[in-house]
Amino acid sequence: MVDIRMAAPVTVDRAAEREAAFRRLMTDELSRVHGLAMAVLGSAADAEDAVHDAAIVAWRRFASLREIDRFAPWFDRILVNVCRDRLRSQRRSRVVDVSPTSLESSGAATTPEPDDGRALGERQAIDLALRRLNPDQRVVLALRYGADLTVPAIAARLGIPEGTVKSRLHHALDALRAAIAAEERG
Amino acid sequence: MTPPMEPDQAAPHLEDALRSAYAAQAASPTDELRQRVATVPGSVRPDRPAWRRPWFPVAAAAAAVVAVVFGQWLRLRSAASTTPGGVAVPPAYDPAHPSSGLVTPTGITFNAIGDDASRVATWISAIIVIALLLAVIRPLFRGRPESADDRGQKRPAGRRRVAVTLALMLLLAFVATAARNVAPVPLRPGSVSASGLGASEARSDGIDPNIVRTLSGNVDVGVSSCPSVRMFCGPRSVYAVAPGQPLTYVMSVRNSWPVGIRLLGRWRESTARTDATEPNGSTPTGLSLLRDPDYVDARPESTKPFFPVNLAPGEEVTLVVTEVARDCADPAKAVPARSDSGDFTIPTVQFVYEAFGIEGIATVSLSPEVTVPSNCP
Repeated sequence: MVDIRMAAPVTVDRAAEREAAFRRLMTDELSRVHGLAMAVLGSAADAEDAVHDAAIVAWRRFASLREIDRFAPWFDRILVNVCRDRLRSQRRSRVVDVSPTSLESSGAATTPEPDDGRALGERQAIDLALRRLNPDQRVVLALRYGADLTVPAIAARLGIPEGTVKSRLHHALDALRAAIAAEERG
Repeated sequence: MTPPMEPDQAAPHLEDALRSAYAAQAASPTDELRQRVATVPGSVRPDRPAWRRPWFPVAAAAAAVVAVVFGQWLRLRSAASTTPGGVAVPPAYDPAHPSSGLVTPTGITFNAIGDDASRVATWISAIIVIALLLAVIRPLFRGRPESADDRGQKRPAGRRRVAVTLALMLLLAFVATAARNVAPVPLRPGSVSASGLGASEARSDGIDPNIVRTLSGNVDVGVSSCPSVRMFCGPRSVYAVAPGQPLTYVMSVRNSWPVGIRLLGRWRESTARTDATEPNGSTPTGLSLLRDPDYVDARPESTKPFFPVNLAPGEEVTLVVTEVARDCADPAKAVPARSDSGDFTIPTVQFVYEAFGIEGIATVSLSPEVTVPSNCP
């Protein structure tokens, strides 16, 4: 497989070439961006819908992408915005999905790893605590610890200064600790 | 109920626990998602900027032509500087009372003249032109708004947008200022001048603006065309009129610009003096036009109230300036002959004109000079 990120910048002009390039890029990035959406949304169904919505937005704006080797961060930014909108929409509708089915679909139960019971309990506590955070906090935590991005890369994907990223990370971790404590109190 | 976490363990291991939790969520995209994503390019039309669409340049050009033609039509559809045969002339007016022709420039583009309908229509055409200009410069603002910059912080497009906007504003300000300072006044004295109602004496000791202009204000006795030793001699009309009595004089103005302009009237707040050395003993009350442009007669029955006049390049219009003697006018006061150049002001009349929808003031020298004997301070 050709490493697209190492290739020289390509100017996509013709429609057919553009479409082929988009399909190829999406195929290559699909697993990664799906994982990113999963980390942010915590739900497989929501993540698939978000990736599909982001793909539509990205295709509409694909002509504005001048350097095709920047597709990954460009698409991540679109995907993060879509995920954040979905999280906000869920908060507005006050629907908190904590059903066992949701937890299963999140992967915690469907992909069990050889682990002891306390580790599994920690993950479930974190899953529930993450749902108490606001969308911005969930996004920044998912990008940092789920996608394992650096602070500058997160800043680029969110379009905010690095200092703001650090601040959000700090407050998100504090909020997560508080949420975990609240979960433990039951 | 989830197993409780030890509080002292939660803080130090929180980040690791987060990584572990996110890793446990990892799942591969389903075939359904792959299928849905693969169909996107075939089912969704990509966006195209309006300015890149084929119809845009055609529409822009058509709109520009319509706007220009419409604007010119608005400018030229008003009455010409002469009264067409067969058209009823306005009723006679009294030059002793304020009448048409005195205007105050608003300085606001496209807001000077015309009825409400034409004013609104002109504004609309102006907005179309401005919108087209914005569309033309829009490509300058194109950056990479959708691309992520690994350096974070602000996007290049934002900085360029600010820079281009500031540069354009500075350029426009510079061009406007330069054009205003460099462009010559569009109105010049025309070929017709005469005394009118109330004139009692013609002299030759007036200030001739043409000679003054030739000398650029320098004293040069050798240029004098007068029989005496005085300089800058020109015609001078003395109007020995009583307070409240009207006086008129005739002058013509010519459009010296290569484009058409519209003469809106005399500047109401003008402080220009029609007398080179004496205070003005009269107050402007208006302008009027000749009913028959080939017959120069400043009597009220031979004139009609002023209305805005379009002047083609090189065209001139004859105006009858009407004024009323102030309370300090003294017809019995003897006007002394000028014995030397002394301090003087070139006699002028200031008019308001409009060009390209923008109003301006033009100072036109007056000859013969108008003197109203008075005791004004």
